[in-house]
Amino acid sequence: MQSKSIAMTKVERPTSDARQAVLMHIWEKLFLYAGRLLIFAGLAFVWWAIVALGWVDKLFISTPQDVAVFLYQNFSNELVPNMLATLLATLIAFAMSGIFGIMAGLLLVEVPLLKKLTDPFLTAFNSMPRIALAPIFILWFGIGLPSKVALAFSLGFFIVLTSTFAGMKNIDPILIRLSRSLGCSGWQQFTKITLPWAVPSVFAGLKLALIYSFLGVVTSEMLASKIGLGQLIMYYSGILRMDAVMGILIVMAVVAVALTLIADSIEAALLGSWTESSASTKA
Amino acid sequence: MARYETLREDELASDRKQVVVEQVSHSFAGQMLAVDEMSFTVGAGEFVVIVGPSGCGKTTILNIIAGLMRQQTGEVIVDGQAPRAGRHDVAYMFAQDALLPWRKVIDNVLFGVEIQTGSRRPSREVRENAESLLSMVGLSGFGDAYPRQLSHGMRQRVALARTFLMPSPILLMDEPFGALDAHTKLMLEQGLLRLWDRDKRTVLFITHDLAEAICLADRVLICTARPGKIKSEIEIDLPRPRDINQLQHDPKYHELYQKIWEDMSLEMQM
Repeated sequence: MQSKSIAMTKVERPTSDARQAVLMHIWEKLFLYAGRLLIFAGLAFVWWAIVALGWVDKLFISTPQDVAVFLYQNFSNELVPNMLATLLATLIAFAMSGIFGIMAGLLLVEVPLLKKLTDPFLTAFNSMPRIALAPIFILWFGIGLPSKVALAFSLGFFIVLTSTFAGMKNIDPILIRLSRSLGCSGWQQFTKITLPWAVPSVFAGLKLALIYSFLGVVTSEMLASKIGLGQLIMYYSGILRMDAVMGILIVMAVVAVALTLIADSIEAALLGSWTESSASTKA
Repeated sequence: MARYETLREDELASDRKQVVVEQVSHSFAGQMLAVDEMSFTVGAGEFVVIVGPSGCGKTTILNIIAGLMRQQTGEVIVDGQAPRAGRHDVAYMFAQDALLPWRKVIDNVLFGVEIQTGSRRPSREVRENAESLLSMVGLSGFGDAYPRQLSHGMRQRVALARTFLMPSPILLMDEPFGALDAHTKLMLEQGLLRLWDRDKRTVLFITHDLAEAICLADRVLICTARPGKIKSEIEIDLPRPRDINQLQHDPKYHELYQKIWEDMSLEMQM
C-alpha cells in the first residue's frame, strides 16, 4: 500500500526549535518566580508601612520583622513538633478517607440498591456542618490524635466517596457500547474500562480531601487539643501574641501549599500523559 | 487473510447469506415506529451499504444485528444464529472513535483482540499485524502516542485499525466516517477499501452520504425516513479494486449517483 502520510498533525517531538522553546520556557518560569517574590515583598512592605505610619496598632497585626523573629526563635523547639503532630493527623485522616471513600464509592456504584437505600442518609450527613461534630468526637475519643482524625475523616471520606461515584457514573456511554459489543465480562468492563475512566475524578477528590483533612485537623485542634498548630494558634491569640499567630498562619499556608504541590506532581507523574487535555477525548 | 479468501469461495458456492433480516419492526417506548418491517440480506464477503436520511432507524437495525438490543417483531439471523452481543465473529465500529484515553494508540488497536482472547499479552504475530494495520491507515510511528494527542480523523483511523485487527468475518459499521471532514473521509474510505480488498469480509455499512455508499458498496440499500424501511436496492457493478479519485471521472459512477439521488429525493420530499 502506498501510504502517503496525509494531513497528519504532528505529535510533539523534539525538533531543532525544541531547544529554543525550552529556553523560552525557563525564562518564563524565572520571570514568574521573580514576580511572585516581588508581590510577597510588596505585601510585607505594605504590612510594615501601615504599622510604621501608625494607621493600625501593632497589637492587632504585629509586624513582618516581629513575625520573622518569632519564626526564627521558635522554629525547632515549638513549630516543628506541632506541625508534625498536625501533619501526622492529616495524613492518617487522608489515608483513611482515600481507602474507605474509594471502597464505599465503588460499592455504591456496583450495588445500586444500596445507593438508593442510603442516599438520604448520606446526603443528610454530608450537608451537616461537620465542625458541629467536633465536640462529640472530643467526648468520645478524648483530646488526642483520634478525635482530630475523626473530624478530618468525616470531611474527607464524603469528598472521596462522591468523586469516586461521580467518576464511575459519568463514563462515556460509547465505551459501554464498545464493551458490550466486544463481549467484555463484568469484571473486564470494571477493570479495563470503568475503573481507569474514573481515575482522574478520584484523583481530583483525593486532592480536595487532603486539604480538607488539614482543615479538619486544625479545627479540631483549635477546639481542644494537647498539641498541634491549631492549638498553638488558640494559645497565642489568647495571650494577644499576634506575632506568633501571624507566624503560625504563615506556617499553615506553607504546609497547605506543599501538600498541594506534592499531590499535583504525583498526579502529573501518574496521569499526565493521557489527561493533559482531557477535553479532547470527547467526540 | 487467505483464510477469508477460502471462506468466501465456499460460501459463495453455497450462496450463503451471512446476515438475514426478516420483517423486523421496532419502536421505542411511547414513540412511533423506528423500523418498519425491514428485510434484507447480506451475502458472505459482500459489502452492503444502507443509505438513508437521519432518523431512519439505521443505527437501531445495526444494534439489533450486533445483539445490543432485541427487535420487537421479525427475525434476525447472523451466520446461522440469533444475534448476541460479544460474538467473536462480529465486529462493530461506531461513529465515535470510542478509544480508551489512558491507552496508547497501539494498545487501543490491540484492545478488541485482547478482550476476544482474554489475554493481556498479544502474540508476536498479532502485534505485528497491529503495527502493519497502523501503517496501512497512515499512522506508522504513532503507536506510542495517546489518543488526546491525535486529531479527530486520526483517532477514527485507530478505531478502524482496532476493528480490522479482530479476525471477525462480519463487520458492522455505523457511519464510521460521518463526523469527519471531506478530505479525511476520502482518505479513510480509500483505506477501508484497501483493507476490504485484502480480507474480503462481510460488511454492513451505514451512511447518509450517497457518494460514500457508491464508492464502497457492492450493493446499496435505500432506507426511507421514519419509520425505516428498505425502499429499493441497487447493484453497484463498478469494477474492483476501486480508486475513489478515479471513480470521480467514471461516467458510470455519476449515472448511478443520479439514479439513486432521484430515488432518495422522492423519498425525502424535498
